[in-house]
Amino acid sequence: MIAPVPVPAGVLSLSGAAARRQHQAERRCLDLLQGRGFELVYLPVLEYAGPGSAPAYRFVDPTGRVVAVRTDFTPLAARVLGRSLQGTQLPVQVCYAGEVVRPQPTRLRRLPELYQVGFEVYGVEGGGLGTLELTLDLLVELGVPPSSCLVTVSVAQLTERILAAVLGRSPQVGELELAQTRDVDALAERAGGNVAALEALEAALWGEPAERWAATLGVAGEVERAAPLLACARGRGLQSALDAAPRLAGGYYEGVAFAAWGRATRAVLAAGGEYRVERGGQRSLPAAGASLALGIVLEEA
Amino acid sequence: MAAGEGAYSGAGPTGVALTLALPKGRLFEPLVAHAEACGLGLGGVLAEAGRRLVVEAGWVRLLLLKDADVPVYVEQGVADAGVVGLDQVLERGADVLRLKRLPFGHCRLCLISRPDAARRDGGTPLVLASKYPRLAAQLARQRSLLVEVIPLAGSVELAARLKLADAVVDLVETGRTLRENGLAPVEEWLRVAPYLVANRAAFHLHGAAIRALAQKLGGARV
Repeated sequence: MIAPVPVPAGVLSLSGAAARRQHQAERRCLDLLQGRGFELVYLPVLEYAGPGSAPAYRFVDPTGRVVAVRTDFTPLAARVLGRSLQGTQLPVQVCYAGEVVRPQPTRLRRLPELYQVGFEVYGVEGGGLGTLELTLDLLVELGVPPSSCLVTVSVAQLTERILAAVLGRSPQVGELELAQTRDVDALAERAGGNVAALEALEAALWGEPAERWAATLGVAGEVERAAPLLACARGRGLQSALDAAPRLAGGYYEGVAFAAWGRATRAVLAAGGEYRVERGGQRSLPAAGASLALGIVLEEA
Repeated sequence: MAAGEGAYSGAGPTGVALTLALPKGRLFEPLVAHAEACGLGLGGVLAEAGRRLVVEAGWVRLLLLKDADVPVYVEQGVADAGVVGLDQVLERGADVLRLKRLPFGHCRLCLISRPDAARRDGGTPLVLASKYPRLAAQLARQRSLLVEVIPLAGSVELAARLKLADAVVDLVETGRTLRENGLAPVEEWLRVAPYLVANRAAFHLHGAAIRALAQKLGGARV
């Protein structure tokens, strides 16, 4: 008799109809992406962990080197494909599917293991809008209607600029966390008595229209960068909002970024944005990409 | 079940029905009084809730929970928002939005010991007893204190008095319980206030309704 395998909570194990449904969904996404000129790539599940690597499940391989399990496709794809992009005609478009495993506490809808389908475009400046459009196409392909979704759009460094305007100096890490948790009262204790700035901060962090706070905080230009994405989402019938203090995974986005939230699952169905890829020792190549958490998307659909 | 699903169909001033998680513990009575003073119209319903765990009150569904469970229900999206002390949010490590600090039930999380407690030398961990093992360990680390934390469910004062631990980390409101047990706060580690907290997704999905609630409950900053 074979004993059941003890599997940690949150680790994927699908069979029967659930496995067939996920497989079909993955095929539909990859067919759509390949039909639009994306080249399928298979990326490594493991890579050697260096100093300063992101938190990951790690182990020592038989040669004695520390190996990390894949946590995120976007930076991994950039590291793996970055060298081959030198001398290649741009743009380069790739798509992929597979598991990522994240070493965070097991929580409902924040599973350590996620099955993702995603894509990246290298060599296009300002690719965030196209990335959002394609992400929304994929969600529709998987049966998620616009009415089930909300899109939040953010701009890299916007939170830092807002806090600098209120505090009169560069914010510390703890203050960024307070902004991400919307703790305006705690921030107000550090900010002094500029009432107009505090009211604008509260309006920004509470998601009120940007006209009420962007000019006061001197960030109207940054906020304007989000406008095309917000208009795109609205044009497709989705609720959309600017997120002035997002909690983004990875921390590598350098332009606009977005997340699509499910109404039923209360979870992020897909996320993406603009970043830059190191090429020849410089972070010079513009890129954009997004990934969908397939299991959560199917639950929402 | 996610908030907003099921048979409940009430709607608030913004047309959206909210599910709120509320604490049945030390914050319950001041919260009822505050909600009534803010004109939310929940005071009577809450006062008459008795042993019911779910109360429907027109524009809102109320979940009456143990204090420690409020951040869990909000974080997981079963409740859109809730009222809970910062101590419980931090102890749980809950990823919830802290929208408004509420003007009642403020207290301090303190390191507490007997006046005659011997000091530990540098290499020996201080043994702490606490209902907040995660938070106590985190705050001790921030103070570069070497500690061993004994998790307890209640009456932590006894642990210090009977020398189960060198000291305890617990909430202090008036300090009366400590004095009656021969203990005293040694150091304030955290100021604790109740917050209106919200689920991150619900905040985006029902922003107007949650903002309206925050403005009504919060009043001026405290």
